[in-house]
Amino acid sequence: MMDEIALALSAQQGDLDAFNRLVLEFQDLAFNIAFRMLGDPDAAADATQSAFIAAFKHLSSYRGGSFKSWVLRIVTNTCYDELRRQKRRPTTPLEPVLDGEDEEIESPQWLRDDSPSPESMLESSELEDAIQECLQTMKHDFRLMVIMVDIHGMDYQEVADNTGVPLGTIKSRLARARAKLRDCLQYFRELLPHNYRHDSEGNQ
Amino acid sequence: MKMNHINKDWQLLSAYLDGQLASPQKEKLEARLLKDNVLQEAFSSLEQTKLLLKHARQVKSPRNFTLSQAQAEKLKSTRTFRWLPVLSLSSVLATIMMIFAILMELVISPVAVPLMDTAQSPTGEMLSMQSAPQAESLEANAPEEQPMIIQWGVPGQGGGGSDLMATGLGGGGAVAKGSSDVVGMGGAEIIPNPLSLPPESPSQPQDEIPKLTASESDGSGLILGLRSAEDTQAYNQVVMDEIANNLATQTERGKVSTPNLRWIQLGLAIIALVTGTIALSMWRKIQR
Repeated sequence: MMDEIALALSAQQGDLDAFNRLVLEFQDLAFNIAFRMLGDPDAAADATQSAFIAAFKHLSSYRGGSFKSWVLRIVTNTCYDELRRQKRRPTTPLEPVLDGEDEEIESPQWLRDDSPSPESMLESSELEDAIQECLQTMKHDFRLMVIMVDIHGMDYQEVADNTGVPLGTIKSRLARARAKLRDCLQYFRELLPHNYRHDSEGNQ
Repeated sequence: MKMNHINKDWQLLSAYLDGQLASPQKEKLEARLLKDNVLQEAFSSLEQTKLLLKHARQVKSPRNFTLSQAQAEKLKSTRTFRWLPVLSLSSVLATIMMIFAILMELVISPVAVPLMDTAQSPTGEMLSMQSAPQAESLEANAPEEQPMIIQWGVPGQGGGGSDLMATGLGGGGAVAKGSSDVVGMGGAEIIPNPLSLPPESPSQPQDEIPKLTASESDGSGLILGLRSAEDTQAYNQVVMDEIANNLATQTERGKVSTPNLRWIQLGLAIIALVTGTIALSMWRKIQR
């Protein structure tokens, strides 16, 4: 197990290798959070890079403790900045025009799948798209709670450390976010057998 | 359970799902779940939602975000520029304060400048004293014959030739013999507020001021308070000195804060110049 605090302190003294080791350790997590927050891999990559550059520039402000929490807070702040920037200057992505797309699709693509098995459904890209689409409809603050707790399995205290949000606020935001997602992902929920969770959890 | 279900239940179910409920609350909720089917259904739907989210794909980062040596060097050099906003702000603040200090001086100076002017120029009283006819000249113009002595008004109050009585300055004029229609020519000007020496001035004892009033005891003094040229000159000199001293004191009071203000202005100008120059050079380096 890497000693992140020792590496962070070395990085603070100017050791670039120590900093890069920390980057390699947390870059996947940072990129995933950025991707779920922004919904676009390119924007997520840019935000992650910006966050690590900001972390390097402000290493002097690191006061010990969990480097992971410190760097994830920078990542989330960078994502918020990017979301604010997108809101100020909205852009339209250049998508390739495909044949037969003239007709308006009334339902999301993932609704076309008729009867997948629970296992295949859970691994399907349709579910992945649905989750991402549902996340994008939520408020940023609620989205971040779901990403950290439900997707990355962090506990409330960890989320509080990573975001600086009080525990009570985390609880209420998470409850409201789940209530929204519950409706948004209703189709996939109905495909799951009633007792699927217990079997699935037991098998893991 | 629909969204109209109370928020508190959603929060309890959500926290229970994550194992974040304390024992008493947990037991209470478990008891309710056994009885309440709607609540149980709601909990089941939350469980399923959490399960679906748990299967969200973990995306691998498309590239490494490590920093090269060159990038690190460049970033280190920009670290020194973190003082740029502080320096810029200091420069702006110092400039604003300097302008304020200059304005302050402009506001104060109109009070001081007129005082300085009045100290250097003779006042109305001084002019009236200077223009008052000297006994010397009156003596020169006086006819060779002894003038007729007239006791005019109350002894000690000079002047004449007017309905108002002038108090004690200059003295009344002599009346030419045989002339009955010209009275009090060359009398003192009427001074609404009789000049009085400040009582706090110990340097001018009352005895040193020559009396211009006629002697009350025997009435044998000069006519209508007119004194000799030396006495008049001495009295005028004493009064003018006193007035000049008073005005000089007032002027000094008005000028008290000015030297400090000048130093403050100078200090602010230096701060504004130094911080502004450093900030500008930093900014130029960043632009390169």
